[in-house]
Amino acid sequence: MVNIISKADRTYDAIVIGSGMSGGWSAKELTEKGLKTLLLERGREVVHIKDYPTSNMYPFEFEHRGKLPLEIIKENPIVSKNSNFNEYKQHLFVKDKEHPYIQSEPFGWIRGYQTGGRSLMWGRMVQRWSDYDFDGPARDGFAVDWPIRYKDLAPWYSHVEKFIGVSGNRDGLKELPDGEFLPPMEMTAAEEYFKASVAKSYNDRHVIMGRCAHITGNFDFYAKQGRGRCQYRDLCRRGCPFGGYFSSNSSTIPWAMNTGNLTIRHHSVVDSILYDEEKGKASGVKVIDSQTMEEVEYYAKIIFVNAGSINTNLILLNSKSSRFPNGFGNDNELMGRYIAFHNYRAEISAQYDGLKEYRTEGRRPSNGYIPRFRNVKKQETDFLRGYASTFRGSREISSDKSGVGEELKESLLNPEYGSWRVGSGMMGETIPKHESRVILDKTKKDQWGIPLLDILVQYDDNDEKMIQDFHEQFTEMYEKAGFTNIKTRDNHLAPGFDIHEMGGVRMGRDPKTSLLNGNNQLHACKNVFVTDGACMTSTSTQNPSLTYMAITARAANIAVEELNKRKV
Amino acid sequence: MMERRQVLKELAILTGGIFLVPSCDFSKEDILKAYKNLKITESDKQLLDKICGVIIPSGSVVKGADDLAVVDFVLVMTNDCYEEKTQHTFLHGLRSIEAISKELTGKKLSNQSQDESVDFIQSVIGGKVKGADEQGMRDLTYFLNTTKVLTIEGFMTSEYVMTEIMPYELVPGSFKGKVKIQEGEKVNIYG
Ligand SMILES: Cc1cc2nc3c(=O)[nH]c(=O)nc-3n(C[C@H](O)[C@H](O)[C@H](O)COP(=O)(O)OP(=O)(O)OC[C@H]3O[C@@H](n4cnc5c(N)ncnc54)[C@H](O)[C@@H]3O)c2cc1C
Repeated sequence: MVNIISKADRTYDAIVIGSGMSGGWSAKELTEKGLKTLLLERGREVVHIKDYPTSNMYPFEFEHRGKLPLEIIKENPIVSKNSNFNEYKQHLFVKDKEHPYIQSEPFGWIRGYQTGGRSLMWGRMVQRWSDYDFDGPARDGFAVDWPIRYKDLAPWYSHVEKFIGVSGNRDGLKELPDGEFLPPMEMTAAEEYFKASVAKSYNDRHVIMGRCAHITGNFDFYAKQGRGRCQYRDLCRRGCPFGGYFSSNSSTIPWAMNTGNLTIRHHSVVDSILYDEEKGKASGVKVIDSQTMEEVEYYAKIIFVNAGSINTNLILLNSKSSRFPNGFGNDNELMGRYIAFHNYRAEISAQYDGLKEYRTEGRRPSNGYIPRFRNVKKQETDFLRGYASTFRGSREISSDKSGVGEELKESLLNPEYGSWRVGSGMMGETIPKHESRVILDKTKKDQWGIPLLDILVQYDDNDEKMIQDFHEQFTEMYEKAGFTNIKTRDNHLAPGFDIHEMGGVRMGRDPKTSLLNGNNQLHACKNVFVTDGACMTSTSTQNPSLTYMAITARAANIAVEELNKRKV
Repeated sequence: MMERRQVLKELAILTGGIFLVPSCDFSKEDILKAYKNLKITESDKQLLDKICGVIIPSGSVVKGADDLAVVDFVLVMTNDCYEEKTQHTFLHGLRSIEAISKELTGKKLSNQSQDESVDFIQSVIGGKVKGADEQGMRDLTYFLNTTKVLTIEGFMTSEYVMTEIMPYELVPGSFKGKVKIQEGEKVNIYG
């Protein structure tokens, strides 16, 4: 049954591996430019609205009110450490047994195998990088210099933001450039207060409204995508029936489909990329159908690898030929190395007893945000780089639950406003290191006969110092604001639970020290483009997906130009 | 939830109201199939239902935990989400409440008035009374605390409370960060 369809019918202009956040953008850009594109997705099909079974369910319709039965938690010790793996949306997360991996060091690899990948369950926070971020490795002497700068990406950030819809304020901060924004969401009274308090005490620290991928304006434009305004339900991660937030399912994939140039094939696990020795190019991919276990090959002129950072590493490392015995494009043996992530371990919470005359209304699906303020313009601490942070202040409502009987019932039915509960979570940059890597296990294989990945990534001294500094600085900022009952916490979560895993196939100028050039082409094979998190040379502190999307859109347009010039 | 409700409904039709499976456990009575980890019988359930009703009683204006069958939620949660060891403690506590209340108040809980049961439960939870069997008292205290927490959760998140008493809006439509609280305004935890 292998390759029963003729080779011509299995040949496209472009192949995109993975239908998540970055793959959706590859598909959109390539099909809009007229390329017949095959989008290969290992998971099942999830159709916008139709396949969101829980999106319109009330809390009381969930048997365990959101909690998961112990049996499921015990079967899934890894993914159940993420609080989003719950009764509302567990069906979107990959269960531990579905695709095992080896943790030589503890690592939370949180995945979504379906149409849209993790764009369905993401937190939708989207902040641009600035040159302070792109300059980082060169200035501070780690990793390698980024081959691109802010000016290369700025038009693509705009291109992506306009299409996905980003709500935010124009804050005028050099360290967090403004974008194409729809009206901002409101801050709560406590957040406004903290913003003013920080502005009074520090001139380099800013509390702003987080920029998030939600539709809050320009409604006619988004109606063309079939998407409506955000309804402030904060049930986003179940899939939004209004299309109020951006996902590949609601936006890029149907858009690409409408061009008539897209074919999607689900249940298609890409095993490897094929190399044509004669032409010195990639010729296509080998796919294993996860339902029939049949192997099929597909061919194309260009290939976009968007399997989601670590899976992208896996595919490339598993693509072996006589030209590339150690993995596709891996001439310098650096592939799979320099993996990094975001340090999410530090938290702080407190209470604020002012502004008690105010409450909030509705459920806002986003947070306040504090851009990085450490080591921005120059090195000033005993650790490298810095951290951004969330800030959230909401009014507590509670009842005295000490009684039993009539007394308890009375107090439950008459809750009272308490203090404002405020809190922040650190998002720290980590340093990509030679020893931080993923490798293929030599003997163990998965259900599809593909080697198991072994992940070896650890925190280091720099991360520990950053946690301490975050706790100190935020305690000071909270104290200055008059917050009380301040509690700092280290959640001790392993790397990976930030779900911002990056690197392994980094961009750079020099083929000796990097895998990709400034156009995201493999130095050693120019018709293969890697544009998901695997390409990241460093991590900075911003939530990364906006940058993946901008890099992807840019690379896809470069690819089309190169194709037209017959350069690839 | 729909599934289990459906199963229960169908079983109820088939068996004329009581859902039975053969049991080999500590009780001669049959255990309820819907809660097989917990190994609970129909009379255990009736007693628990009464306790839920003591914790949040029914009233002339607002329904109570017993009217809303919050007992089903308490059982679902303890059956599905608790460790085996704590399930044993829970069940042991439930099964000892009649004897211990008889020992300490002279009346079995099932024969007490609402006020008497409230006093008894408060005194156990508050650690104000000592029974002869120390382990039994510890299990009873655990059982009562757990039942109270779950009864509160089950009541507050019941369809009744979330639609009729403190409406939860599935589609709020907007968000306001700074709304002035009006005098005498009714506080809704789902607002
Ligand atoms: C709970 C949560 C909150 C998050 N919050 C934020 C946030 O606020 N901001 C932010 O920027 N990011 C956030 N993220 C991260 C964000 O979701 C990812 O960065 C983003 O989805 C990455 O896009 P991607 O296309 O590279 O990978 P994915 O979206 O994971 O898509 C990869 C796709 O490739 C498929 N695939 C994998 N291997 C193969 C193979 N061998 N063959 C075929 N297909 C394959 C997968 O099934 C998947 O569909 C969050 C993630 C989660 C889970």
